[in-house]
Amino acid sequence: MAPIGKLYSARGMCQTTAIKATAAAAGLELEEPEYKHYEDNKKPDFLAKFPHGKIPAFEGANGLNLTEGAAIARYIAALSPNSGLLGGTIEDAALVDQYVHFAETEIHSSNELIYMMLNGYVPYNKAIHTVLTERQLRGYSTLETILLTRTYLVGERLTLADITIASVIFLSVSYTLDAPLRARYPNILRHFDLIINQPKLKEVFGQPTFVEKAVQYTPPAKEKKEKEPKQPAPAPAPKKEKPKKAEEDDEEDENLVPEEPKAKNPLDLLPKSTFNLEDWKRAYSNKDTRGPGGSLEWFYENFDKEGFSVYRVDFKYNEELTLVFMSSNQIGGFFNRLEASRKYLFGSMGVLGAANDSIIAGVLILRGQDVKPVVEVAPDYESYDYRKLDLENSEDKAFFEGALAWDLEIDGKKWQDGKNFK
Amino acid sequence: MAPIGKLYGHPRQPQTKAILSAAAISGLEIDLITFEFGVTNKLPEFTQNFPLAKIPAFEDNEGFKLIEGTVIARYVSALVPKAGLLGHDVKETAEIDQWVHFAESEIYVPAANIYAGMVAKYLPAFSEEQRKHYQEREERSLKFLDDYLASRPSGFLVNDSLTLADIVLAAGVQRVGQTVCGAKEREGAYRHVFAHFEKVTNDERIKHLFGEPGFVDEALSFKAE
Repeated sequence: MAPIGKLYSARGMCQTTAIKATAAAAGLELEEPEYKHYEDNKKPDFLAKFPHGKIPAFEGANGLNLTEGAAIARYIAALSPNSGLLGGTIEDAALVDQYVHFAETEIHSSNELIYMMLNGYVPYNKAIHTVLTERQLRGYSTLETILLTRTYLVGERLTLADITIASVIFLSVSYTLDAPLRARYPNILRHFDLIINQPKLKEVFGQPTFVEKAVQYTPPAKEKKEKEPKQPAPAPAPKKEKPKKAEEDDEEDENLVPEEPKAKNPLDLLPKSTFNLEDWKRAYSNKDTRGPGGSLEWFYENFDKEGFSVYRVDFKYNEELTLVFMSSNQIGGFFNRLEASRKYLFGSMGVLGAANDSIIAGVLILRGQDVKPVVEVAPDYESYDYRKLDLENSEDKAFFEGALAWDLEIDGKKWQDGKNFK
Repeated sequence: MAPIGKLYGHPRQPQTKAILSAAAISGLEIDLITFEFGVTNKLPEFTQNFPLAKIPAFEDNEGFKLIEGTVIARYVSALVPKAGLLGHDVKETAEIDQWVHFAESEIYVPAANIYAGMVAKYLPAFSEEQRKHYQEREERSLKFLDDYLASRPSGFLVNDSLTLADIVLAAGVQRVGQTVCGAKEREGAYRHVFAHFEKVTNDERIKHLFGEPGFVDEALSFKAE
């Protein structure tokens, strides 16, 4: 059979994988001429066909020139209706389109932007990295829920939806979908394994690379920003120039029967305490903070320093902060991501200073003596420094009270706006 | 005619506009349930049917459910082939898909990011560097698009009549005119893009769905403090 056309693209792009897998599943042949990006796409004969100069680009044997990866894959699937790659009805086709679009916008777009930031194509921004990671988590979570009850995404056989999702996940597991996350999403991995091992597709996908820990940002050497987290960190992330490679992992283990995702929380196993966090939250909400009969007075009467601890929190990258309300939003976002620790935590944090000259600081009252188990539920917890406070020490005590009363001042920077986690 | 289903969306959301326009051109009616953040996305009937809890979200009268804006618009367009929104053969459909995808990823998304960072203000620490990055990307795409539209005798993206590609592009270009392109750019470098916008949004059948353009006089920038 003659090739249906030529595909100009680069290996490693998930659109390319999806297009080639679609052609293989449809029993159609694609020619892949030699192509060097940044060189060939500047040449006049390429630009005459594809003026935007981007890949993938498809030159059909019938004269159709097409760009946009997803559109090319869909067209190839449409050329072979018997393959069932677009389902059997308009509704099935719409569901296929839905999953393709979802894969691109809810999962892959984060991979791309994170890649661009970590490799210097776009200025690195920790807050945005966090937002993208969070967004992607939501996408993975939804996908896991969908795949809980399905072998294939649409109907009972392979469609373009499965191929596209598998292509995106292939990239994700080498980059952002790391070992701890993969343990949470057994159905995503089960589906992934099924698709990349289909006889017609195995050769197109090849062997996936599984990253142990999601690729992190390593700042250029001359940066004075301190990056080492307080906790004993795992081995540093793979070198910047090879972001897609990972340590060889024992891939087979990833596909075992899923472990129970919710282990007993060690914080529930601590000895009973006389300090009741919910009572504290009520006292804080209903009373004035300072003064007689205030919540601070209540706190000192009731606090159990064996069962609970008080920590100071400081944002690590205050030089990045701009407008006050945006910094305030950032605190809100951090608190949202601490939701899983609601039973173990109270927080009062704020923005001090003025626009472009501000800091984020505050306090946490938490179960136990170690901050890490309580805050590590938030993916961005390492953006903050934590220091246990000693309320017998007058400076620590003043800081604690100021953070609760929202009148804290640090180095001349006055409290502007605050948020409570309660 | 009875509505074919309901759409959770918002009249000001570009994806909602595209879906309702596709329906209008196809002679179909859809019930719009205007989404209220913090209210609608806490209703069990919404979150149970749509676990991702994002809009647009569509459910027809038989319980068929769909998310992803351009996908819903495409499905609606597929229900009435003779309206021509998806072309007449496999090639035309592929070209329309190509332009829809391009409009979303290359025209709408960079402008939407600038809008989210500078107007709606829900991208943290959105900086001048980021604005510049998206602006450059946007301009490259606008130039390519403008050249292409200048070469089109009909003024439409595919064929000689309105297709889904024109609708989705216009919805995206509206965001561009609210962020990246001031009057100078709309009348100058990208005049074909904005002439296309005028053409599509003045179609009697969908004019009311696009509303006031809300364009900026000058492209958005961070003012010096």
